[in-house]
Formats: sequence, C-alpha cells, structure tokens
Amino acid sequence: MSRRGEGGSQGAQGERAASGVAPATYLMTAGLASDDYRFLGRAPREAFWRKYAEYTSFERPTAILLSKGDSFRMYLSGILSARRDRTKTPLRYTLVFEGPSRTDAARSALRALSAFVCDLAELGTGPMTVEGFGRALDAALPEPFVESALAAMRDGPARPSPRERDDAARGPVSERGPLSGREAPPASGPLAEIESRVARAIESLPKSGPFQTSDARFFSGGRASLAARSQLLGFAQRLLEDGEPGAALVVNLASRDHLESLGAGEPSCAVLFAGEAGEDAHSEPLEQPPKKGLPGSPKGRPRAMQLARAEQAEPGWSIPRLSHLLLGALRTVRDWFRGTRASS
Amino acid sequence: MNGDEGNIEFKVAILGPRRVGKTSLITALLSESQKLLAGTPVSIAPVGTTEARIAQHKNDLRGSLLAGEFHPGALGGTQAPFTFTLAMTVNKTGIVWAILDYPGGWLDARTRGSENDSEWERCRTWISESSVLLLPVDASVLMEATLKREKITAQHLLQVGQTEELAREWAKGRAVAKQPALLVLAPVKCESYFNDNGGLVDKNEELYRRVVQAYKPVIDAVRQEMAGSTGLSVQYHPVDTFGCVELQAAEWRPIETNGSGTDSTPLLFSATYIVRPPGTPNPRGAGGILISICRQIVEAQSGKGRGFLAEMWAWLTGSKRRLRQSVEDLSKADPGSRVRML
Repeated sequence: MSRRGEGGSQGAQGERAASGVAPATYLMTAGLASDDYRFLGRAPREAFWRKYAEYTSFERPTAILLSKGDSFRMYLSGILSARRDRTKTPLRYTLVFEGPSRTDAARSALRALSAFVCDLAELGTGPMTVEGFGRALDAALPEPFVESALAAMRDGPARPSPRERDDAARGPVSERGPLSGREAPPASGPLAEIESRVARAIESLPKSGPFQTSDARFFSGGRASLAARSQLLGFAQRLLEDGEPGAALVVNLASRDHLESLGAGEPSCAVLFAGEAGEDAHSEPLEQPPKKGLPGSPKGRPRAMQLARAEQAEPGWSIPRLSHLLLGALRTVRDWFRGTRASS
Repeated sequence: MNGDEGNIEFKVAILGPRRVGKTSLITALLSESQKLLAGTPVSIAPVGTTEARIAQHKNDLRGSLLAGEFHPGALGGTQAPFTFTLAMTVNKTGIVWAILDYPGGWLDARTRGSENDSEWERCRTWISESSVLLLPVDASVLMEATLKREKITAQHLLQVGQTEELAREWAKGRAVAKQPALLVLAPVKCESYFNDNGGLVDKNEELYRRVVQAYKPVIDAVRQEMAGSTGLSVQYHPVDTFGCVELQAAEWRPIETNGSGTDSTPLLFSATYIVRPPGTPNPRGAGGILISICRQIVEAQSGKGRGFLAEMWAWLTGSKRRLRQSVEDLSKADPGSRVRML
C-alpha cells in the first residue's frame, strides 16, 4: 500500500525502463460493413486472455487483469457501443492495456476497470443497454472515425510472411512493439489516434475509488453485489497501484466450481461472477479460506488456494514452530492442572 | 479416451462463415438430441461451462423472439473459439461430443488478424482430427439471391472458396489416416422453405438444388481426396434452427464505396424475420445429424471403419452396454424425410 502513487510523474520512456514493458492500449471493434472484430492498428503480441476462454464468453462483459508485480496486462471486453452494423447487430468494444505497475498507465487502467465494473451493476436492465463506458468510448470514437480507421486497416500493407514474422519476433523484447515486424499498419491517419482517443474516453469517466480494501488473497463474489464489486476493485488497486502479483477476473460462464482452475498458479486471485442469472451473480464476497463465522463456504477448497493459505498462514513444520506448539501444549497442561487443583 | 471420467471424446468440426448461426445450430442439435433420447436411459446434456453458454444463447434468442420481429444479428457473433461439450451418458459415463465453434471470419486470412494465427492453427488441427465435418449454410442467402450480382455476393458471404480448401485438407487427413469421414451440408434458418414445421411455403427442392450447386466444388474436392476410400459419406441435413420464425424481407444493398463501387462490388445482405405465434423455439432437422453420427460409429463395427471409431465401438461393447444399445438404436432411427445422401 505504501508504494501507491509512486511513479506518477514518469514518462512513457521512464515507465518502459523501469519494467521493460512500455504502456500500450489496444482497441478492438467492428464497423458498419460487418467485418469481423479486429484490433485497430496495433494488436497485443500475445492473446493472454485465451487461457480463460472456457470460463467466459468474450462477447459479454469480461475483465482479465494479470499482474506480475512490476507489470500488468488487462483485457476488457463486451463493452456495448450504440453503433450498429448494417444488419442491425449491436457492436462492441474490446480493450487491452499493458504497462508497468504503479504508474499513470496503471492508474488509467484502474479507472477503466472501475467504470467497467460499475456498469456491470446495470446488466440486469438488459444486456443490450449501452452503459457509461460504452458511451464514453462512443463519444471519443464516433462512427465516421471508426469507419475511417477500419478502412485504413483494409487498405493497409500486406501481412508479412511467417518467416518475416519469425524474424521480427526474434528481436529483443524492448525493440518489439506489441505487434511484431510489419504487422501493424503505419501509425498514421486515424490509426495513429486510437490510443489518444481511448485515453480521452477514460479521462472522461468518473474518478475511481475509494474501494473496499481487504487483505484477502483470494475471494469471489457476484457482479450484482455492491460489496463484491467494490472489493474486486480494491483488489485490482493492489495489483495495479501497489504492484502485487495476482489476477483479478470478471467472468460470465464460470461458477464457484471453477474457482480452483481460475486461481491455479496465481499467488492471489479475485473472481467476480458476471453471468446474467444464477446464484453466483448475486453472491456476496466470500474470502478464501472463509473467515470464521462466514457462512456458505464453497464445496472443497481450491488447491491453489490451499497452497497459498499454507504459505500465507502456516509457517510450516520448522523447529521454532514445533517448539512453539510444544510450549503451547505444556502451558495448556499446566493450566489444566492448576485449574483442577483450584477446583478441587 | 478420457480415463479419468470414463468418457470418450468425439470431435466434431464446423466450417461456417461469420453470422451463419453456428452457435444456433449447436443449440438446435442439443435440443433435438434431447428429444430423440427422451424416454431412454441415455441422456444428453451440456458439460461444464457449455451449459451456461447455451443458456446465454437461449436467453438472447428468447429476448429477440419476444420482440415479435427477429434479427439474427441480435444474437451477436462469436469473438473467440469455444468448445461446446455435450455428454451422452448413462450413469455418468458415456460419449462426449466436442464441437469447436470459432469466429467465422477466421476462415479468411485477410479478416482473421495476425494475433489469431496461432489459435487458428489449433482450430485447423481440430478440424483435421474430426470424424465429422459440419458445413452450416445460410439458406436465406442462397434462396434470396436472384440477380447475378446477388449470386456472386452469396458465394462471397458463404466463403465457399475458403471452405473448399479447408474441407479438402480435412478429407486428405482422413484419407491418409484411413479414417471414415462424414461430411454434412446443413442449411440453417430453413423455416421459410419447408412446410412441415409450421411454414406455409414448400421450396425445399429449390433449396436442395441451390445448396448442391453452390457447394459442388467442396463436395468434389472431398471426393477427390477420398477417392478409393470407402468410408466417405456426404449428407444433406436442412435445419430449422429456430422453428418459429418466417422470413419477412430480404434486402441486397450496395455498400457505400464513395463512388468507387462497380457492378462486381459485393452487396450487403440483411434479412428480417417475423415470429410465428406463440414464439416458442421448435428446431427441426438437427436430430438427423446425431443419427448419422451414431450410424457412422456403428458402421465401424462392420469393418468399414477403422481406427478411432472402431476403438470407440470396442469401448462401447465393454461395460457400456446400455449406451451401446442406445447408439445402435439411434443409428437405426429414421433421420426424417429432409435428409438426403449425396
């Protein structure tokens, strides 16, 4: 928590130097001509969100925030736009953010996530309702602009051959953009404006926080619960602004039965169930392992969480711990004898 | 075979352009399979998150139908691959049908996006490993194209060229592995062209003729690759994906091209459907696909098929006798008068 706010004055170069990851924002959408969804301009180097494909429908609100400590990656999808294609199909936005933690890029990502999560509360009014984040993006990316960007993509340079891509990918990470080689069309015209327009949309969103804070390393809850939403954002704040490693997920297909798989391998993990119906979507935040007195412990404790709990709460069978336990047992016996004597 | 759960996985591949209704076809397949298996000890149900995914799709469909006017586009579109898993089981063991759904636009390298290349390779591997290849075809695109320019656009929209290449690759893989192959041409949204499910007009012969004509290059390519193999079956299964809608209007409009469009510039197709009261989904025709798959499995027994399917049959003859009996019964069931062997 103490590191929150550090690095706010660093520029992009400084931010890249600190973590080896330059801040970047990517936008995916479709347009009038019923093209499939594409990243406009640059695309992320790795589709890290695919790992969660079985747990969420990316066409619907999904958030995947992964933090390695010094850097983060975040995927937000299912943000409905008021734009429609020519077959009257509602169009959506997908955003991907990456960059160093504890920087302006991280704070901007948190603001976007906050708006995204707040919009989830309104999901019950209908999955086709355009909410605040969608409206902000629509304002910054009006239809003519999106169409011109898509046209620039269609008229862009030819895709590189696999050999060219491999050659480009062999370059050092710091020299590679999120898109290797010539995959990205030249950053000119409307494509060069994508990041700044998305940034403008995020700046127009309400300031985020304060959020419910907790030291829990694992928790899950439903999107319909204000406490669960706030706790997820508090957790995301720890990842983004404090540089804590872990994952914060908003998924719409998974249920409590999938917590083990979702949290596997993560040092800490928060899950918000965003399905439109079902008990999970309405559940209050439940910490793992459950605090004393908290009812509704899920069936079986996820293995990853057990391991983390062991690390977190159980120091292990070291000599000092054994001595401590033995001492405690002796004290109990002594007290028992004293009590017995007293009562007799 | 998945030893952990005592299930065997059967891969099914779908090759269909964007917005054709692949997810709707899978939902219809599940719904009709449940009807076919009603009253038997065998049940078929979605597994894992497939259940939630199908529920989402059904909710969207219900919402769209409630409005009285149905736009297929309102069901959105697939943005990332998803494997639908349907388990046909007796006492929790059985066959898991795994059907890979992916964005239809990925068939075309120009619209796929380089970030999806590796994932597309996984899809291709899946396709090559599948015994069954389903080709969903938008019936309204084919049937409502009358002018030359509309017919050219229909070929573009159905992505017949890309489908041909991938179907050829699939057949080659089947032939090399000496595995049986089932190619299913499945026109979807056929409600307006059949009169056996609430519709008033019968244009099923014309639909059949148009589908076979449009997909002749695909069928020929598969036959070429499987020449000399006895295990190829090509079938036609028209499906009413929703069963309660009727085509109201189809429109072919030019795409605004700032004056640069020519007569060969593709058009834009959009269709509007009205909902037949009471607006309850009643798919028809998809059950025949399950019957054909079961038939393919049973044929493995007679020595026509080898490898995976024969292994599956051997597995079914063990302790899974009731399941085997059900597969055998299904293979003998009448797939309906709509189905044709090509």
